[in-house]
Amino acid sequence: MRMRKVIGLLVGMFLLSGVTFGQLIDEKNVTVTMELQPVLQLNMTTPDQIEFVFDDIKDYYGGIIKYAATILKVSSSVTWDLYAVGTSTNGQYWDQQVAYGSGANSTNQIPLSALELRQYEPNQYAQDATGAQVDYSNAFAPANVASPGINSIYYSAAPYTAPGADQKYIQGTKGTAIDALGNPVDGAPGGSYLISVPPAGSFSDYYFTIDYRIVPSLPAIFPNAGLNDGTSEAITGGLYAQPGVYTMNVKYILLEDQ
Amino acid sequence: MLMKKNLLFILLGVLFGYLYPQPCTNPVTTNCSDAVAGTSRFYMSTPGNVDFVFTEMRQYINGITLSGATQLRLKIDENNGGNCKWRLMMYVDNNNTLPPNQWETINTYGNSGNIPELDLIQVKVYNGCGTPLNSGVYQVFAGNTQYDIIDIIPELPNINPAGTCDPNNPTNGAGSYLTYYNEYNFTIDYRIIPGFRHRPGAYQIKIWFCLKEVP
Repeated sequence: MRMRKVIGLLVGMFLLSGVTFGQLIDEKNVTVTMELQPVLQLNMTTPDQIEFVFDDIKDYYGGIIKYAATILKVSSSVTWDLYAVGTSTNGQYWDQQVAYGSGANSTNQIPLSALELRQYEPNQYAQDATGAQVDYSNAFAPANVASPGINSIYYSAAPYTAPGADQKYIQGTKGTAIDALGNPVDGAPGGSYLISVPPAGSFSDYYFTIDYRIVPSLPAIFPNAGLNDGTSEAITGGLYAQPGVYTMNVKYILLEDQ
Repeated sequence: MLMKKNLLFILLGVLFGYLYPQPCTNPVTTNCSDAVAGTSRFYMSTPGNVDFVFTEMRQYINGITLSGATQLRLKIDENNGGNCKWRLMMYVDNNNTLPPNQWETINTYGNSGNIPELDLIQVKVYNGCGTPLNSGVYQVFAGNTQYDIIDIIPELPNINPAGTCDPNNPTNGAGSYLTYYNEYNFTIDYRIIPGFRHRPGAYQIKIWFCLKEVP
């Protein structure tokens, strides 16, 4: 008896299901997958070598400036930071390739911070930067006025380690803070120099020009060399830079906001 | 005894209701032939996966368009002469992701940016007669929430028979893509222009196409 009830129920369900499927209804579906791979592109226009040849007294006193020697163009699909870092074999001094003579009281330890940069336009996303200078946007000081650290390049023996919030960035700074509207304040939002429309008379947030300057002075102590807090790194102790050929490497690092 | 039968009907209704996610609900009339067990047919002649992979800046700027990625073909037979009327729509499903306006996250590749929302994907539906609602125009799921609907052939008060081929009177009666291709065939293009505000990663949604009889 119990079995007959069960069979009856199953038959009933089958018949009823037939009624349900007897109506026109059908569905198809597609699965849409979207993969957004992070894209960070830094286009750099610059000579392979930027050479400073000091062969005139006025060059020592007045320094040499290379205007807009480097142009940086950014495209990024994510919030980003951009910084410049000077580096060398030991990460602190220029590499001496050739020495001209061996004059008394000379040293081959020229600080990397002797290289000064000036960027156009200024850093717009450095709300939480803590350094004395947040970027390289200050105009070069007159050559006869020592300005240690104001425009000195950030340098490191570990160039791919992002600088702290107390160091200069070209755009952004250490940190990932956002404002009340969700916009980043310590990194530039994703975008591209290709489509960014700058304010009149300015560049966009994705386009920079970089000037370079070195002022050896006489004696050649590089009075503008210094840390970002203003501490001078000029050659002291009555020494001066040994004549010769020196090289250093400047890297421009574009990275996701961090 | 009658009460038990009614209960059984209710239970079965609930059971079969689950076979079709909302909002594709069971019709209340049987003027058209069934597309599963009957002679009507609902074909999707294209793959069930639509993949967008953004790897270059120009893709982020200009977007990616997948033309003709989905093609739907209908063959509608009727049970009762002249009374079969149907509706075709699509709706978006994010697999119950919360908040309901976001794509389902499969993986993320970074920390900055926002999870994409459902109104990011654009769809364009068209056929030879231009009968779909907003035919040939990119549309988004403007409600920006799970199960938001875009009507392709909406529920109309009257039946426009096969051969009408009029965008203002979309065909919604019995007929077949075999004999009236431009009225019973629907092509769907997809486009995504992500811009730069989204978090890198892999995301997924499902777009359902629902064909159902309407009274």
